Amino acid sequence: MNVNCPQCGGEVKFRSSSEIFAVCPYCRASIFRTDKGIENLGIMAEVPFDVSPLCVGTGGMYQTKAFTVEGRLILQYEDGYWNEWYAPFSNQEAWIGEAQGLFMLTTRKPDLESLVNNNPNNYSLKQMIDLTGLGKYTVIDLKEVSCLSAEGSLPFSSAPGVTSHSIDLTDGNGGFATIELTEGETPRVFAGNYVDFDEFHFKGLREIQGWKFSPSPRGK
Amino acid sequence: MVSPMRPSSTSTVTSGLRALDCPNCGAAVQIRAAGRTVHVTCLSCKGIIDVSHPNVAKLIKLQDAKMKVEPAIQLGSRGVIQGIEYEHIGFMQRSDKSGHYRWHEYLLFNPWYGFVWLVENQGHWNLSKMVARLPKGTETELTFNGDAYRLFTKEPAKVTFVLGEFYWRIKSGDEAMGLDYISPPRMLSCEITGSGKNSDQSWSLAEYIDSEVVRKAFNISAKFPTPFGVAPNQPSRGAGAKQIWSIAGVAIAATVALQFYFMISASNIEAFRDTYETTLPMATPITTASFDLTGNPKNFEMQVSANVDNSWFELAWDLVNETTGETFDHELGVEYYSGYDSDGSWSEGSQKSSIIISDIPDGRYHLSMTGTGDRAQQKVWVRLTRGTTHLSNFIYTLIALLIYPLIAGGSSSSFEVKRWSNSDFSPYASNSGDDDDDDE
Repeated sequence: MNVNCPQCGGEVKFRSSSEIFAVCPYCRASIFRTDKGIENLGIMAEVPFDVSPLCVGTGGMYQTKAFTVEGRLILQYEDGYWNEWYAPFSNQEAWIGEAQGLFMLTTRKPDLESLVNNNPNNYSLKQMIDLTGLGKYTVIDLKEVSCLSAEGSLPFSSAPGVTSHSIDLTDGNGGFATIELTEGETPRVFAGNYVDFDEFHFKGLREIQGWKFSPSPRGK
Repeated sequence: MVSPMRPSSTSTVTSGLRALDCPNCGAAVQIRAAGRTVHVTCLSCKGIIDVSHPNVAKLIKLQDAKMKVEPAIQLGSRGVIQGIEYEHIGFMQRSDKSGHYRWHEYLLFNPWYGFVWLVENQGHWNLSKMVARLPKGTETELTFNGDAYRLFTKEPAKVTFVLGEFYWRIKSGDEAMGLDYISPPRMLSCEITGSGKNSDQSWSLAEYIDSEVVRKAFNISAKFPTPFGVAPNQPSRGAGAKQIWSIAGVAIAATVALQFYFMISASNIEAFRDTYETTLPMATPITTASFDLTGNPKNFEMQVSANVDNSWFELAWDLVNETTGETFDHELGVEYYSGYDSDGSWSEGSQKSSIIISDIPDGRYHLSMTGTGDRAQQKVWVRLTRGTTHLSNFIYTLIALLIYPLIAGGSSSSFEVKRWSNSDFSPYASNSGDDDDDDE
């Protein structure tokens, strides 16, 4: 399902029908795919330099679920920016969040999206929220985020400059969830766990000059 | 159509370092954990630079230029700890509220495994890592991963000096409330920043690490200072009191069991008994009738009793083996004194005395006895028992078994007392929580 970039003509990959947004790897045009065709939403900012060990194309296996990283969102907030890697399982939208040296693996929870409050002002730190079917979660972080950059292909459009509210929650037992509220859109809910690097069984990791990857002795 | 040359997005290789110019002095600044680092210091002017936006570098604060703190581990040096190679990327000097009590925190980074901290406090080192799970319990007692933790300190801490880079906004002077809970060799720490509704807490789990392990990991030739005192979560040297007592308990139980076996298996046969009225000094020794010694163990107990009263009597006796002619000679004395003085009545000594002699083979024996004393007439009772048990040996063994645990257990519990002497929440303190005199 590849298209030619409306701006430069380069080949842009959409790996599945659920992916509706991609950044042209050649000219960084933001390409939005609809029923009517493709639309150029403008130039996406350069991916900031970072030393993340992941890249588009990195694969892995979490428990019994295989995944390949197909895209990345770089989200900016007041105190910095972080990566959300789009790494779908065969039938599920999954994301690997990278923050403060920890990894969070979450999957989209469409069933919860109509149930959560969509007003960011109704959330506060330490607030207890019952995520139906998942249990009780506590709000640990509230931030305003905007898309700083993106690459690869993604399941939703991410126009630069659009801000949303991100509410992080934990169940205190290794469980992690995020509620993302964007004005005019249905809330998005993601839930999963903090996951150790070794549990992803990554392959095709990015090479980092000056470093040599050596698996943790505890991870074996 | 523009012909695409090469993809401009992230390549599968990265150089690992981001470089920028210090917005204050223009010196080159390197970022080792690009993408995660939010604040970085210029090594030249010591200014703290905000790099939370990828294309912006903004001076936040200049640190006191006179401040000179030398990290024990050089910025940028690498070491392998617990099998993972880490680079030292950030150094903080922190202190208590007063600013006098200081410690140092070294932020270590591995691109795959993230961040850990080495914390040096009074020469003691800890390896600490952020935890995603939250401990459960009360403010003073917690459980985490099945271990019980106890509150050790609750004190505000501030940052007094930084070098390198950090994944959060750091400002020297920043204050946070720190709570440390211990379960040696581990320590759980909670840091609370902000207050009320906007307070944020983060948990980390530390484990005590030998300073030599740190020194060797980073290949540092200079010796580290000897750790001072006892660290909150320092493991106690040697075995703990509990362990020592459980070993001693087994040994004591075995000794008691053995003694019990000796007691029920001992023959305990009375071989000879007689009573004599003698005139002192004795003209000739008393020679007893013959008797047999048989049974186990191969010892006997000789008991002598005399009606001494403010006098003494001593019996010199030879046990003669009638078959071999072998003679075992011994003495046994009794003395008893009593009286009355300003403190009331007193007495010392006893009219009875006994001795156990070991390794006497079975056979036919007799006794040859001579008495001396300070009275003219003396009534004497003599009894010889074959195969008795040594209650005294048993008691000596018990004492010997108790000495080590008492000393070692004492030193182990004194280690615990020493450990907790630095805490406001000591279980050893009679009145905990309200002494405020520990600002060193």
